[in-house]
Amino acid sequence: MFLNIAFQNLWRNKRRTLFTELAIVFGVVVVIFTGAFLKGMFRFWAQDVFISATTGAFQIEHQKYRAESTLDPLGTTLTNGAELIASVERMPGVQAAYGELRIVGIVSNGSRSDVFDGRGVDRDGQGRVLPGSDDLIRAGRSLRDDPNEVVLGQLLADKLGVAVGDQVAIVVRTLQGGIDLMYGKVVGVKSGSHFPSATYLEMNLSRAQKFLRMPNRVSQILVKTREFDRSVEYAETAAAKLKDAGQPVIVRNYTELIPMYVTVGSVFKLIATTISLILFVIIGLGIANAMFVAIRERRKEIGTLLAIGMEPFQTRRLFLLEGVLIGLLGAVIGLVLAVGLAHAISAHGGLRFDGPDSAIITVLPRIDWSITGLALGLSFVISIVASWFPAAASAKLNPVEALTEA
Amino acid sequence: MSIRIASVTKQYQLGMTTVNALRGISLKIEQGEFVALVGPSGSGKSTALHILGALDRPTSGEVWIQETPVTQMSDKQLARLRREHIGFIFQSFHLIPVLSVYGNVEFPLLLMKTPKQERRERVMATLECVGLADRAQHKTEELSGGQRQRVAIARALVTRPSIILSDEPTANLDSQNGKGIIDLMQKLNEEQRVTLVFATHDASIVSRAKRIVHILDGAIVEEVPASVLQG
Repeated sequence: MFLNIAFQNLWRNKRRTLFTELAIVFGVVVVIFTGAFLKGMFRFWAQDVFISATTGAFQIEHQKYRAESTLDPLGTTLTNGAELIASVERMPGVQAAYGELRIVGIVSNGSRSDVFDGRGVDRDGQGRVLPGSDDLIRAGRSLRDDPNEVVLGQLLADKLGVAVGDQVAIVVRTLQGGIDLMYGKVVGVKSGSHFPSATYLEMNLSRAQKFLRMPNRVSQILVKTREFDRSVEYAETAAAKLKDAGQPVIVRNYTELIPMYVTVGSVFKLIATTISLILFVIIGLGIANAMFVAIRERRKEIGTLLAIGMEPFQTRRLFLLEGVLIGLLGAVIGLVLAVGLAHAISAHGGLRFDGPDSAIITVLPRIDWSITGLALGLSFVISIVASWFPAAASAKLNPVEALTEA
Repeated sequence: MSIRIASVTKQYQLGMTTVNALRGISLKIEQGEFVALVGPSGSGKSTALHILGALDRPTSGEVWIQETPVTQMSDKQLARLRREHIGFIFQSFHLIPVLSVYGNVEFPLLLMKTPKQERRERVMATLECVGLADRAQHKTEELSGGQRQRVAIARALVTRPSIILSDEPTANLDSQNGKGIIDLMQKLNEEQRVTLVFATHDASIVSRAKRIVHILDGAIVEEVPASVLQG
């Protein structure tokens, strides 16, 4: 009964209902789409800057590596690299995996020397797991099969004063404690945001293993997953399987690998939440205003309802219902529009912006269901709160005054 | 159902002025009576009608409906009393515009939580009674003034109230429609012993009432059986 009357009352004043609905729909779309945009941007930042360029979706390393790698980088490596990588590649959700061996030492151009903290990488595997790693090349090219090729971080190359084509001498301490020397040819220079270009040096994994006298050893296994959104789940599965197999390893997913991932995510969420709250306060005031006007216009009607026996709480319920109907309708329409908009933009290649170093930032809006839930919940709560005072005012009307006023 | 009021006063504020709408009136109306409250505009007859129907509270004095004091009742209790025992008919009809003829008449039964089948039967029987059964699904705005007042009467009757209170029910109607409404009300009074109390200027209503109560400046100045006037 009340639902029907509430709906009819909204329909009766189409223009006011339309504008109130538009305000709510606009608010819900802005909140949900902003959430989707921020999530898309966050994903782009995480994927483009880190996951596809340097970290992978998750990494496997020796359980003591984090704690002891500074003092004992070679002793905290995984000894059965190839077999372990092969078994990881057979795990659920894993698309590709490859190994890297940490290598530290001194690099020199003959006149200037500096310490480096670099990597021996399996180039084929790196291409599969970190397709964005080549985007970090600022000069020259990536490594090929020649075992004497090296790629330097931009700042390290600048400090040494070397460029592509130059030769450098590399000195390392081997696993057995000896010193070894090799000459490498600089074929490329890398840099990027959050990239350690002041110390980075890269060579082929097999050369690094031979150089350090560490055959088949890797410091980390980097993994690419089939579905990015399930990476954490796949990482947990891999960790469980490796633990069952008695491997002395830990698995760290991208949320742990990316510096400030949680903080940055929280900042994005805080922005979306703040926008939500501000918008919904404005929307709530709009609903309250519309409801007060409706009650002002319908005083005689309320008086009639009270005269024929409607109880005050029932008139309150009627106006609350009208407010909630407006809120829910706006929330549903807004949700459909926002989700449709996000999907349409994603389907057409996303939003593109100019980034640093001529890079293009492509944001594919992704619906953030926590922000969406917040928007829907807020539109419901705000519509109740905003209708509450007008509804309470309707319940306090004196029926005679309402009926007899001009 | 009888109504009794004793020493009822009603004051209200009009801007800075205190208006004494009723100045201590006492009146008893028995079950099945047809009473006309008459007097010039502003005399207090509508205010008296509202207090008789438990729609308004007196400033002082007592009101009994079926010998139950109502002045101390809560708003909820008063609403229930009106819903179950009293029907109101207003000069301006006061129909709910978003509801159909059927919906308007059905509404009080919905408030009483009457079962659906019974609601349907009672609504259609009442609309039949006021001659609007064929207009049940019409919007009220599609009806003439006389038809709208019949809907209002049907809405007041559908709960089978003991008392119907009516404030100038024919004021917005032409004479022919007005006569039809009075005929209908009189028939209800005679056949169903519904107590009728009208606040009116309409001489045709006054001529049919069984008792006439003259109110002037908030006080009852004369109370006479119609037979005296007609005689």
